Amino acid sequence: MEGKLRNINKKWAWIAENLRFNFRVFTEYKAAFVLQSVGMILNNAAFLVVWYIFFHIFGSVNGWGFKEMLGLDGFVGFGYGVAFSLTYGATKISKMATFGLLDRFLTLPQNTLTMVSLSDVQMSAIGDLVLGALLIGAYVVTVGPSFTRIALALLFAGMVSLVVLGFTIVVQSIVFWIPNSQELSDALFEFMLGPSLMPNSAFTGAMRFIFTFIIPAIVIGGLPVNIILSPSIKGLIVMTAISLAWVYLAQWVFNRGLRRYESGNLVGTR
Amino acid sequence: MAQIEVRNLTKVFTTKIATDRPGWFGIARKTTKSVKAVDGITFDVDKGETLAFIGPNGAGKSTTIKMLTGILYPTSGSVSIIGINPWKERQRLAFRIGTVFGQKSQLSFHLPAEDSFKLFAKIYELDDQVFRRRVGELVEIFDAKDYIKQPLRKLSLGQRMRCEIIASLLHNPEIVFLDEPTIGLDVVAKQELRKVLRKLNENYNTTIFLTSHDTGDIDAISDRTIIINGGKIVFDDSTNNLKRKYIKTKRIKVRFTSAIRDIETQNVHISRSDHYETELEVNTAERTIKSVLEEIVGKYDIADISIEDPSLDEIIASIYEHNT
Amino acid sequence: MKTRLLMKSSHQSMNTTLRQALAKYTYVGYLAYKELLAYPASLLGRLAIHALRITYLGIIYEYVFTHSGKSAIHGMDALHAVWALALVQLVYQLTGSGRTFKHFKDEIISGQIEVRLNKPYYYPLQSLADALGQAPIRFVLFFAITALVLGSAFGMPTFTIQQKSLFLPLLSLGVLLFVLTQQLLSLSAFWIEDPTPAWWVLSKIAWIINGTFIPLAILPAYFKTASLLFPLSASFFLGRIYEITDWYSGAKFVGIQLLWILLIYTAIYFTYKQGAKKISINGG
Repeated sequence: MEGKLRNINKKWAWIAENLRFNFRVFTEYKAAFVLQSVGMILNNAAFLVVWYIFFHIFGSVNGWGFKEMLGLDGFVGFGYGVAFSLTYGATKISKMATFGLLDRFLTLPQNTLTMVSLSDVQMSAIGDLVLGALLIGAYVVTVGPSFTRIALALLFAGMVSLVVLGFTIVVQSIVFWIPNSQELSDALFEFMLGPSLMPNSAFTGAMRFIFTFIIPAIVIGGLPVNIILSPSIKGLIVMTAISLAWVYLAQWVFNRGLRRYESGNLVGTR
Repeated sequence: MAQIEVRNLTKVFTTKIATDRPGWFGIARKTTKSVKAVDGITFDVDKGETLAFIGPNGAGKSTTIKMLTGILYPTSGSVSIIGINPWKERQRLAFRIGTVFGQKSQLSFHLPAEDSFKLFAKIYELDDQVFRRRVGELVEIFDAKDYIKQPLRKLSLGQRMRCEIIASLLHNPEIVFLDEPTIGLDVVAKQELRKVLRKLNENYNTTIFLTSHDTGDIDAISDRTIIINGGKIVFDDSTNNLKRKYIKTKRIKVRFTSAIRDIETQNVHISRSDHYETELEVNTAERTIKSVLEEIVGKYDIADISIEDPSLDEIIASIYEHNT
Repeated sequence: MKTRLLMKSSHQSMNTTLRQALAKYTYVGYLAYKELLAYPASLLGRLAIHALRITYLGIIYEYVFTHSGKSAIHGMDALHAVWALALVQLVYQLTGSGRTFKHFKDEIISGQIEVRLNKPYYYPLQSLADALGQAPIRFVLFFAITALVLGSAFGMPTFTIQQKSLFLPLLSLGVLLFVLTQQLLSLSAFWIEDPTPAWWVLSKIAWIINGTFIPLAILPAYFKTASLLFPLSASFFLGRIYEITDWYSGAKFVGIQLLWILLIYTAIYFTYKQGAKKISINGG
């Protein structure tokens, strides 16, 4: 049993080391890190100005006002920030498969997808993460902080990161079936990101279904905002189930795609 | 049991290529084409051997090495590396082999190599003590102490290559696969790398499996050479036998004391000639060197004379041409 | 009679006929067009994204107009608001959003620009040709999708004769201005390590005053004034087409775009010259 625990410990030790390693890259380029992070904070703050003006003109959108947009921008920004700052390698799966750069990960003795995801960092995404965290905090404060709301906010912040990462992996893995599709993958990511930053309350009916269960645009912003506003067990279960589903789907799609990469038959690649 | 066993290994790629007839809006029409990159190759490699696996571009070298390391799976045939099937148990095999792919770096460009080594130690699940001892040994062997603390981006190509090889050896692999390791290196860096790989083999009995276009690598590192061309093995023997078997000609370079208009000699090919110097190619099956020398020295006033074997480059090129 | 066009790069003077120059850059544009069509799956994906974006913007604006009790704001109703936003998006799509900025900046930062300095073309024009080469086919495809999606979901607006006449000039000049502005910003890479954060901030400020998310027509007057003073907003005057009520107001928009094009191109000419000189002296 002790041996097994030690082995599990070893398996996870490299992930911790890789995260520490990725942080060291930030500190290696201090000036660029600060510039890009601050630039991204200002970039994201512009969205808030737009929405402030919008709600000033129109009032509310199906019960949503500027307060809910704070929470929305917070969760989306935080999820994007965590996924892209530390696991930026996941956004390069398409490029790596196209140019045969996955080879070196295949000769290493750990989970390929995890290695690929942790292989690169994006400094500016720290700005998304920081502002996201602040906005989530501001939202919880404006709706009335409680132990439940704070716990849900922390939990959902993590889940949203997993969903963003999972969706990124799925769309990037399209390259295993459609060659040279990096731009398509980026465009598909936009499919999620664009609507996620809109007042989700305007999406009803079929559109709401699509943006919740097929493209998780509402899952990474609108859903946690609504659940925190009115905490419920049902909301927690739905959020958890969808997050786990994206984690498993990402692993499954990537592994299936990797089999095609290993066949060497990717058209126009390598 | 051999350390590497390859039996009837075949790899067929199916690719799409554009046809000559363009489609709508100039978008190319495509058709499917099958390419047999590796065609039923069989060979064994024993522990501690140093093998050069060479061939012209498109011969199947990289495809073979990728199948041996588990990156690609074959169309048919079998491979056993230290008793492990590389594509079925890739991660298990990864603990026991090292890989260096010439132009594809595995180290962080932004950080010192030392940081990457620490990460690799965790990836290969090495105990801290083992890692510290091992990295100390390798840094000493590779004489890398002065630069492993500098960011990789500030190192020369030769220094980076040494760091790449150290990273691939931290876990003390039984076999090291190197795909074009000296590509892009200058002459001095190449020589140093070859010396280091030789030392690695001598000190640790590590099996070296190397692909290269550089015959200097073959000469310096490998005791055995396999030549692959068009997906098939066309030569498999020691590097010395490669030279002995295929050296059928000698080159004689002659410098004369005075200008010669036309040199006359029988059954000898004149590959180059100006008034003062001549290069002769002698087929030793048709004429002995002694008889050629006696004739030249008897007829002309000689200032200098030298006899050379054809280079390994020429030998291999002739094997490629013969087997095309 | 041959027309001589003096094309000056920082390193050499090239006297070339207008015809030769046009042929050269037209071919660059043609290659850009081919490149776009070489990846049809990617192009279809981008068309789908555009359709989705204008749809959800349309849904939001239709909703807010209906439920706010306001049939029109500053004379603009829901249908025209949706179309105004879609026309702004059209300009983005014709230029590939920040594609020119990214390519040009990467060329400078990577040092690749060095090899361009001794070639017989002027790199800013080559980059412009590359950007504009895709614009016609992008216009056909993206405008068709816009008309199809918005027409079926929300309805077709009416255009006055002045608006119809000025549609293509506003679009063409807007596209040209947007590309040139990106080039000018990217030239800062000759002096600063990475101008990307600056691009983010400026382009997001532009969102507020170019009608990307809120049609300028329904914003307070000072926003409209601010948009005249900012080239990244003047590029998107097509989104303000519904403010054109007569030839004078239309001519004003076109005139401002032309003025910005002249100013920006002049700035590019001198900035690029200085940047190229810097490379020649100090290396990349």
